[in-house]
Amino acid sequence: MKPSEVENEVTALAKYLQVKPCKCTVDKKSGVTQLKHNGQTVCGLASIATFLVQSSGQTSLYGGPCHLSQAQIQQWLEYRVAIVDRCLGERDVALVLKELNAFLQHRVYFVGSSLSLADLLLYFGLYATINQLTFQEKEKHIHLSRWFNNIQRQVNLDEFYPQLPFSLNHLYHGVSAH
Amino acid sequence: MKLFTDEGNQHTLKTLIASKLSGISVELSHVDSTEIVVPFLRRSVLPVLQTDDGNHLFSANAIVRYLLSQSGKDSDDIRVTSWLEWESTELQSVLSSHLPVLYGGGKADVQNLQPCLKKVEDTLSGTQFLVQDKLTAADICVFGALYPLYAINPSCFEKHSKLSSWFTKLSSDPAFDTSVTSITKGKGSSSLKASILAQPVVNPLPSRKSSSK
Repeated sequence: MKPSEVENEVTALAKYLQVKPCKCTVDKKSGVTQLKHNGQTVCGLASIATFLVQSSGQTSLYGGPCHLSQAQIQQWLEYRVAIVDRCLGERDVALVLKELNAFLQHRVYFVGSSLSLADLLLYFGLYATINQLTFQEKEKHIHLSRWFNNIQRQVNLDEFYPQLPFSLNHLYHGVSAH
Repeated sequence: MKLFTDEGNQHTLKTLIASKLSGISVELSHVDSTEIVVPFLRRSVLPVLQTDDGNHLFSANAIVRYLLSQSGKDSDDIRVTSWLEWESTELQSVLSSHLPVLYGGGKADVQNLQPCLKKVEDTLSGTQFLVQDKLTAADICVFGALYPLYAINPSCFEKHSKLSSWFTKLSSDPAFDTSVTSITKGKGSSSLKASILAQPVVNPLPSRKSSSK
């Protein structure tokens, strides 16, 4: 999976959260993203995203007061940076799509019943991959596609992530049978 | 709450420490290292915490914070989050390829580990714990990750004096000490081998290409 452009992603997130745009850099040697803010350095994409949500005061995106929701969001952010971003080949990508599709079968959002940071970071992280799927492949991962389409409409960040097309009709026979 | 794990898993060690520190007990359920506990995952990931309402947490670090948070002992300091992210990505991508070689009896290049050990050493040169002077999830998770190195070679931190004394100090804490005994059953590194050889690998980060616009 080709890593998405991290800087674009952080800018998009800042815009969505309506916090001051911030500049982050990528350490050339380690590939780790860093954000400098008021003399403090925050390392790692998931941590930067968490930091931005904390600064924005929109605690509902981080699970609100519910400890379990917070832990579930942390778990999915880890999945994003440790698994999704580290796919080395098509087999890894296929596995990720399969797992997420299975997880989303009976769910609208990754955690609880509203949008959270987990949805945002997985949406950004999967954008390039979903962009490359054919309509047939999108239909094969019907639950993942439904979630993706819902998130892209809800967050509406067209200037960073132009909306991708999904077909509302079943176009192919048998591919989404399960 | 039920914690599914294989025997001798160092990530389970993290969760046991958190359970002891928070005073929240979890029921251990031992499964085979290849067992898929979380229905939608296509790989075996252990440990997994199943909450009373049937939710699964399949990240040991998230389980640690969840247990701590229930007794008000988790910290929302962003540095804790940052250490856990570093542990699950940078440190694990080195350790998950290093440890199986080491435990399989082969020669593992210690040089690869040095930048990670140095990061911990440098941080501890000014503070007692990884995030200032308070024990947090960061200490628990990095300790658990490094434990297998120490178990097979107790002198592995010798060149890093701060790291070494931090590790020794944590080891003698009752919550850490009893958790280590419960994972290793007092048999040291041999009890960890089977789990380490079965654990999934965290890939290195593919080089980020900056696309030209």
